[in-house]
Amino acid sequence: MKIIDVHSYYGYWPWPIKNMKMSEIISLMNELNIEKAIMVSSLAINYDFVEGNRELASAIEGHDNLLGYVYINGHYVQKSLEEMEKYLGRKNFVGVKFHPEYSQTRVDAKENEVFFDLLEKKYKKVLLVHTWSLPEHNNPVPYSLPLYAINLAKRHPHLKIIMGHMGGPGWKEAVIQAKQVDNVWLDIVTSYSHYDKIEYAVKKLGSSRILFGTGMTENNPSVQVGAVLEANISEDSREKIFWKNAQEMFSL
Amino acid sequence: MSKLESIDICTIFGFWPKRNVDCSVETLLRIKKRCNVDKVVALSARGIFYDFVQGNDETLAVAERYKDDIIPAMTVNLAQYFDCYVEIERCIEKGFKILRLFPTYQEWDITQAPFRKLIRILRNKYLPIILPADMGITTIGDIAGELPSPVIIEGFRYCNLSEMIIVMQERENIYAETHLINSPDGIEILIKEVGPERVVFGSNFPVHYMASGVLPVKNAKLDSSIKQKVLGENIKRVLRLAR
Repeated sequence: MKIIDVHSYYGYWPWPIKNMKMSEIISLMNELNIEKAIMVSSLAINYDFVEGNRELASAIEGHDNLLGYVYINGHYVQKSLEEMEKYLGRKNFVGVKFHPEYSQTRVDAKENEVFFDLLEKKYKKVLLVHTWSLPEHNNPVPYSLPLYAINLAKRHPHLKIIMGHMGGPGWKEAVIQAKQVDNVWLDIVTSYSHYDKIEYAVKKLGSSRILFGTGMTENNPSVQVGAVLEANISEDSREKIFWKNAQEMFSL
Repeated sequence: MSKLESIDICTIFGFWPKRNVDCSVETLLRIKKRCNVDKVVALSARGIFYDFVQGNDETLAVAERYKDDIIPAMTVNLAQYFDCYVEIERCIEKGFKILRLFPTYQEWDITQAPFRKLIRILRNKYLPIILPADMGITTIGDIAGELPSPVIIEGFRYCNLSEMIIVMQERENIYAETHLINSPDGIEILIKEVGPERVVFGSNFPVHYMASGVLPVKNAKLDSSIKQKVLGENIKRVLRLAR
């Protein structure tokens, strides 16, 4: 069965993780039948988003099976808008990635409205937002609660929002909260795979709202491939999660 | 009264992803000049948040360009594992004189094995280290006992001044960096209890205003000779810079 990975990364990680060359990434994708991967720059997430977006754009150029998210940082409004303008007109940049925990800014903050208005009304592309139920990275408060993504979804009903990591350890709550709106999808990426997470999400939310992601190159893609293969769900649901939902969402 | 020479031991330049802060090299130099600070010990934020090898190269390039203004500090991310210890050797060879670590940003801590390994490596080297107080002042003090070099604790507050004083009384190689002392007479009390030789001025720019770091020292009720030690002489001695 083919796979579309909606949540993956390109670039160096500040952990003992091999900095994968593009040829190695593609080889890994081929091994696991990942037909397409949508990537965000780890340089953009961790440090300089302008430089990171540029590095990603260069890396995915010429690879039909690789797409990109442009990363924006809520502290740098003007620069972020410029980045959106620079990349979202390109066919191979299919959305925006927002990471509230690394950038320490909530996705539903009023000052971020300008980004999501633009994304919803002009570009009509997808928002992938990192969600997690606890503070991370030694942050004193959580910036990435699923609730914040839901708040945003309610304010932007035509914006397709992917709750990246489906709230992390708080995935049960994230699934329940996602039922409040029609424009939020959940991706399954985490560095672990809780046993009944996928079944629960399919049962409560429906398989049409679940997307597959691996978190590679930070995470081993086999983990989430295995989770979906093993999940006690129908083959139709499995297909939707592995590729059909992403194909429809991103018009691939 | 002649001008007091000042060296800010805690500054960072580059791109700051956590807040909208302009900490370009140009801004650092401009603010340093405005605050009448003569030199800064600085490093690139790239080394903290992303790639410490690239960051150290950036730091060195900037320090070479601004020789009269910037003294380079090296950094590594012990959570990375690869290249950490080799990088320290490389940077020492390239002339870096001090190591600053950022465990809080990088999500490791000094009780863990990678830091213990670093301490074993540094037992036979002279390399001053800057560590954040939120790693635990007493814990840092215990570790410092294994090292021949100064260990500078930055970011302690008046609420743990008591701990800082006692650790400094117990360990001769513990130094106190001043940027967060922030009580009306914290610096004076510290110097009264531990002497003026191991207190060093820092601002932690761009996390804090540089002026907020320098003015409390300049305005402290201390003889100018003691202020001069805090502002510059002590760190010059630590870094083994020419007087």
